Amino acid sequence: MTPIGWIVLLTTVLGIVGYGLWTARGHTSASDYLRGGADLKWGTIGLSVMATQASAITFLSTPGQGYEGGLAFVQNYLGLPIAMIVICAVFIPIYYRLKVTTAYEFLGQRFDQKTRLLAAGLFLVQRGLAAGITIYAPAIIVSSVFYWPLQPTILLTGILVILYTVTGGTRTVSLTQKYQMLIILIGMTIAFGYVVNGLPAEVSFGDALYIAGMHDRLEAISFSVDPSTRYTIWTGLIGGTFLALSYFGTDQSQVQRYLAGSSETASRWGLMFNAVLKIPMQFAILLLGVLLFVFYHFQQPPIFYNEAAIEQVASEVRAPIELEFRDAFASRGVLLETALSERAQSGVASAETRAGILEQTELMEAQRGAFKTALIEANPDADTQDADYIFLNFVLGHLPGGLVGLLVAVIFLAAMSSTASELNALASTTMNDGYKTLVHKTGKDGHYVWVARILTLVWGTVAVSFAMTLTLFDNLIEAVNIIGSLFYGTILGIFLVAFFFKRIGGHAAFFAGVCAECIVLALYFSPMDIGYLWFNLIGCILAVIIAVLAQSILPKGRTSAMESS
Amino acid sequence: MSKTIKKPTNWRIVYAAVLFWLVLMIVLMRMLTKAYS
Repeated sequence: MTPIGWIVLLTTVLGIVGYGLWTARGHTSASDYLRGGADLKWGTIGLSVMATQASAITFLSTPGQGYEGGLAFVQNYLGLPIAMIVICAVFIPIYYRLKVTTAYEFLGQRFDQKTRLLAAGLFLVQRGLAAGITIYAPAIIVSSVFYWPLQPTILLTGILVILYTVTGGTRTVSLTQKYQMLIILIGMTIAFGYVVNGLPAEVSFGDALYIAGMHDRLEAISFSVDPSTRYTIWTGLIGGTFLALSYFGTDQSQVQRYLAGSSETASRWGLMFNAVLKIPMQFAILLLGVLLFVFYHFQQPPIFYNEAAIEQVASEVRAPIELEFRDAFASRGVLLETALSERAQSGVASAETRAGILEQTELMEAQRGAFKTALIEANPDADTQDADYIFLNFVLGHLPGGLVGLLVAVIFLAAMSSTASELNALASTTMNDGYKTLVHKTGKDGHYVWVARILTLVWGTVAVSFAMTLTLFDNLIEAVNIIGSLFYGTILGIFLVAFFFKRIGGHAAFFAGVCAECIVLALYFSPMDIGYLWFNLIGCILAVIIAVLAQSILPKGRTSAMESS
Repeated sequence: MSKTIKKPTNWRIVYAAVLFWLVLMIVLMRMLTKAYS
């Protein structure tokens, strides 16, 4: 990175950390620390909810998803607006009425302590794992690209987040996220502009889409009913709704964001902001990946996007592979010129030219495959997935120095904003649902603030330690979604029982939660091929059905401290 | 001193608008899929 890149990177990241510490000054009560003082406006809540969901993985992996698989991944988000409406209409009024600090506190009031602890425990396990991945994902990629040592990169990112999260708590997390998200959106918009601008002058935006469509990269909406197809409108609308309902309605890292609102109305508008903007944002990031795919039709791509790994293969082995790769690229370039002139004349390229282009693309992919085989032979531990490196590779090679610094800052800010929410939520859940109910029921306000700070530090240390021991998943954004899907369904099922089945008591809800989670994990580890989004639905339905059945057998237990509606 | 009384939000209309926006996005993305397949 150039000196100006370093200046931009350090100024941006340290500026945000400094702002976080500045907002944390003055006296903080336990309620301020855990609930954020309840004075945030809807815009801050909206950006804070968006920043919590959009981790660095979103900005590194999603363009890679677009490049390799096209726009299909956008369907994952189709259920989000529906879920937001349900949360605004049902969840938020109850959370506000009961004045809860964590979502699980509601279960304690509605059922009993064991059900509250079960849901809080499931959250802590899955979110604790995810927090490690949130820090690890950008660190492995950035350190590999810039030849930075991995462990100190993880450690430094972790320390910076822990610093302002421990000091300021919920309010600081939300306020810093507002600016983090704004910088992220500016950075991604600039990157998008550079990709479009990087296409040859004679290639119009329509031509770029035409080339992408030729390679099936523009299939945004699929009506396929094949259950093993990962992304369809059905998985999105049904599985995606349940995932989003569970994530935004019951995951404390999100619930904490909107409960910091100045009013119920502010919280609702914050979520509606996301209901409207989330799909276009994900669509734009995927389209960025698709356009990168087209961009590399006119610019020679590297044989492997993690260029640091290329040198691991001996030059005499990789030279013939690279030669064939370049030959195929050159042949495809000639055919593309023909295709575009045919399109200019008759609206479409001839079938023969299209087939030729696809053949050369396949040839290039075959050479990439040959290189990956050679890489594994040279280093059996090497990671052959390079999708997460595609965007950063482009940034590094085609953006000016200062903007490289800004885009690297975007990646770190995204990692920090998500991690801050996670640590904040993990600490408040442990504090509110564990420490306050099991260990120390009556204490002074200052005592709880300090315990919450220590717990944030402990969870930060756990996340950083976990990040330091991870190895790369197939695709990091999927890894986070898979882990979430395995637990979210059950948690959501327990909450739906709490909201809508007022006759069901604590014993049945607890029994249903345990059974549903065991069945979901058994199904995941079984040889059956089930698209992971379906686990959200399966876990949820199982929890509800088992609770209804168990209620007729088990003693009723306490049903409610409130009347569920 | 006059104080402006804010009208409460009609959430049903907001939710209906969000659902309409979702359907519109699905239709537009499907049209994109069809146009370039």
